[in-house]
Amino acid sequence: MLYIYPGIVIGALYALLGGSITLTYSLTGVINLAVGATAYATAYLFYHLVTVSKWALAPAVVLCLLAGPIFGFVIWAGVFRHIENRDLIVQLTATIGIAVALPALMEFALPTENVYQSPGIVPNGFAVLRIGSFNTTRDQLAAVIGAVVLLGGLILAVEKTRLGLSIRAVVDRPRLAAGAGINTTRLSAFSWILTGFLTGAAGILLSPLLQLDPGIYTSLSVAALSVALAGRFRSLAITTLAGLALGVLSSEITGYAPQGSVIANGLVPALPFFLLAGLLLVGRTSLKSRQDAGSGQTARADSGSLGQAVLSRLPALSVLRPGRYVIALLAGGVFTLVAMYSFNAYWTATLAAGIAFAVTFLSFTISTGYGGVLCLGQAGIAAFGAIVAGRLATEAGLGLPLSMVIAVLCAAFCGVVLGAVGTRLDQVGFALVTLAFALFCETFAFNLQALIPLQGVNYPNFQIGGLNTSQSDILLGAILFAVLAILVSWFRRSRFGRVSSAIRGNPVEAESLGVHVRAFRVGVFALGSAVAGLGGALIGIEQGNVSTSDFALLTGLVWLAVVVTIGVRSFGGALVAGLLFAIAPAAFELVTISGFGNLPTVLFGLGAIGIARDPRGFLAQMSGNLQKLIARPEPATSIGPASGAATSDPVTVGGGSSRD
Amino acid sequence: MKDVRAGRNGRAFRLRGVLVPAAGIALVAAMSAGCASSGGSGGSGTTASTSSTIKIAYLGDQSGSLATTFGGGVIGAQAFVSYYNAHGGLDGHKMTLSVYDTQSSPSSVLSDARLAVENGADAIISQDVYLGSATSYLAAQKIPVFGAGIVPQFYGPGTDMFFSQEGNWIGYESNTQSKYMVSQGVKKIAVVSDANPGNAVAAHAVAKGVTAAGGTLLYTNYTVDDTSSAALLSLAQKLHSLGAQGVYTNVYGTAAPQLQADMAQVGSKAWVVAGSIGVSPAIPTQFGKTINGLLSEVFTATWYNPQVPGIVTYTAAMKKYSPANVQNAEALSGWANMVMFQGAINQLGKKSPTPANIIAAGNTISGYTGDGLFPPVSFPAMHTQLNPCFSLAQIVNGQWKIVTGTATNPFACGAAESAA
Repeated sequence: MLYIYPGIVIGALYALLGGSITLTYSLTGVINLAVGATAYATAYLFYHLVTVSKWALAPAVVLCLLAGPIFGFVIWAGVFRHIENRDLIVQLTATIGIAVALPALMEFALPTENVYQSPGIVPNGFAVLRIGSFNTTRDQLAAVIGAVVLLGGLILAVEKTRLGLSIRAVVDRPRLAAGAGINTTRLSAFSWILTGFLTGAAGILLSPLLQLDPGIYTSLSVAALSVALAGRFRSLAITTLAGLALGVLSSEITGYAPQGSVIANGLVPALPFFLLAGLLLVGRTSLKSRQDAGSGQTARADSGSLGQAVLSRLPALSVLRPGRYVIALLAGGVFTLVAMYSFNAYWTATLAAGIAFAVTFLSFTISTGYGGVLCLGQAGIAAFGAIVAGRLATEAGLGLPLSMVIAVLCAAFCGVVLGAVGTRLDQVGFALVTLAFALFCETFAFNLQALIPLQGVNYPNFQIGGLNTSQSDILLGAILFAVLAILVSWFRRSRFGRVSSAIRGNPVEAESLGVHVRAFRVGVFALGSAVAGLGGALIGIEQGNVSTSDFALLTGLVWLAVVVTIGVRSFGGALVAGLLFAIAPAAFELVTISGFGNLPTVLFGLGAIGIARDPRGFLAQMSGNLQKLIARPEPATSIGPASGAATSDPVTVGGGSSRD
Repeated sequence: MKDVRAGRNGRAFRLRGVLVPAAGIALVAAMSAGCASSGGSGGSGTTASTSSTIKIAYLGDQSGSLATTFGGGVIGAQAFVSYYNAHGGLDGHKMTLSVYDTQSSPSSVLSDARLAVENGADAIISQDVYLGSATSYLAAQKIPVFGAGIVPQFYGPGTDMFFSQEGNWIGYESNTQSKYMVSQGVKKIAVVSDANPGNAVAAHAVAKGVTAAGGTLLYTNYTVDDTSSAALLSLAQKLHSLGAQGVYTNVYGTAAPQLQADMAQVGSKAWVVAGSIGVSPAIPTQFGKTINGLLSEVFTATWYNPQVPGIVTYTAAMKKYSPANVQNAEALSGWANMVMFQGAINQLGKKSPTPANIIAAGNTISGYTGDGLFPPVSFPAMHTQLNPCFSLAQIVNGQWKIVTGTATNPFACGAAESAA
């Protein structure tokens, strides 16, 4: 009994964040990975108002309760209104953009320091109330009561009222709902306002219980995915109960597990991971976006998504016809020489880092762009490559080349295991598996000193001939990037590539023709993982030392945001994304305005949000604009949702592409 | 000891067409701006140097998630430079200070370190939690770094250019806090940390030090979930049921005061020891009296030791150059790192302040205290050995109070314990 109330307080935390995820999905059809970021933004605003601007609690609470719905409305109006008929992966990418941009935007807009403890919504929140042997602080009680009232009220509102029925009808059967005279646009806006309210309220209810750190909010919201999954992203009641159960279980283990036991030391921090992985494997999620519901083509949505959508409108940049190989290689050679010899040491090293990231980002091109698998745990896979290569080269003395080969094989094996698990699920389930893997790395694997020593993993000095280290890094990175780009291009033209297209176009038909869809997907994902491992090793070589902080969960999401922003379907996109990822912060370093360092992150996040609305990527968009300028007399072809009704958006699932 | 961590309807088509290109163009523009100035001064605040001017680079989190915690360090460093330049410089050497925003990102730390070297920095001042990503590079470049050595990469072979007044705390810990608690009748002691390897290893060393100090090691847990005070509440309940009188913590951010508040909630009077929370007045202000009893290890004298000469100088400088930050713990930390640098410059003699000379001079420092600002430090010994002395502050009636040492020497020393 001693540990039940502490468990309920932990459970309230999971229930509120998990409830926000469930409510968002059940009312809008979007799996919102930005729940933590939105809650953080509200908590940050609350802290700033009360602690920095010295507002009284009541007006600050009122403003922040209004802020949540405002965030919700702005997110709907600016982003999701335009992509609500896209598939889940596109929407998931947009939420990652929000998760990356929103905290940085808040810190940029409202800079503060000396944050130690966030206030709660009740005065004297630390004051203890005692009833017999039961004790609680006012803040904890507010969080628990707030969670019960909010979630209970929303369960009644969503599941028992006519309004709730209409909202869910819009999500489940959008065309039928529209045909029945329901104003779907207004109800969508209302849904986002409602979910914004819950997330914002959760932010200020939880603020006294959490450290004001976006990483903690994001990690907790990822952990809360597990309880949302327990409710199959549909049932607020089950999500709430699962949150409470997870909290109580965690508390009981802390209280009763034998001191120093594996259970006490390893299980508690990784509990959400085990729950998430278990539910994914046992439950076999099948999540539908509004588009899927509208078209009734869940199976095809699984195959199409972002990859299919973009494939139908690939920019010329992504396909190298044989005649262009020579030109591309020459251009690459010139670029490499310029990078090696034209800049000072600082910029040369920055470009070396950029090329290492470009190789790493090629893994997204393969897994996500070509394979149609949204990988949210790429940083974890790259980390394994970096760790294995560094330790073998430095501690086992195997030499860098052999160490890198072994590291690539290890990363590929990692990809095979994840792929074998993920391909049992639908596309979103696969993405969540990779997210669970990232969570596992962050909460458990990366803390094992046997894997990563305290001092991090050192790399031997790498030099080619008379070149300095940065020049050598650029040369190595450029050669590897070129080889991979040629292989990828060849792959796309090979029989394997054509099979890939067939699977993306219609996996059911492909399967009926004897194609082993699952094996193919595992293969593509393993290939992407191998490249991630190679990229991780290159990052290690370039930095000389890697530690877990280089490959944090949030870092991986920022990587994805950057690649998707620039173009996930072309190796040119990976190259530019990698270079930008290194160059942008380095360039902003030269800006002397305090706090400006947040701006690249904000821009990358906004870019991912924007790109989710037009998944061709920045490069393709610029290429398209250039082509329009050249061929101005011709009427523009519709390429996005804004040109017409969402349901006629060409970025939909199904149907192969002749260009593929 | 230290925490190592370390989106409108009618205009939709315009937004869609503008948002992504805008982001891309902004980045490309920024990149171009950066390239254009790459051959120039670079870094904020850098000015041309004379032969006797020392170019100092400060690497710290001025933006990103860590800025709210560590952003104040630069204030102390800037005040130090202004103060001593106004007083003729350090041993006659004027200083220039360039501030590099590490953006709470490991890759930016490395990028900033390179830019600092490119800009001709003679020495780097930093205690960035991600400095580890740049230590290999800085070691190869032979650039001296002065800071409170919070990254493991500071220590080991070939790292004689890293100077920390705390010495090598990787794998070592002082049992000063245990000795103090035992002397106050607090003998049943628990030791906890989160799963972060740096924190966990240090906690193992503290656990060994408990029994060596005459206490009873009641409970250990090196994988505490410190992400929320809710998660810490069940730990508090456990510790209370075991009868813990003292709890040493090596946890993230403000988890230690949160645990202290949780201990009070469950009816325990146990003291919680924070490895690195500092003595900012904002802590009792923001937490209130519920964290009475909280102890904090303090590695410098503070404004609570106004008779220490080093604090007299610090206070005078801060009152002149940043009066609002006299009692800013991070500003004091930044100042102390500069004082450590001052110790090396004092040893230069007539040699010019080049990086190599500063490293050589730093490695002759012996028994240096920075006018009583920190316990005696000596190099090269402290590249491998722990400085086992620090002071302890405790929250009594909602205020910090130094509970160790004397008015002019607030430090207490214990024995260095190894985690092995």
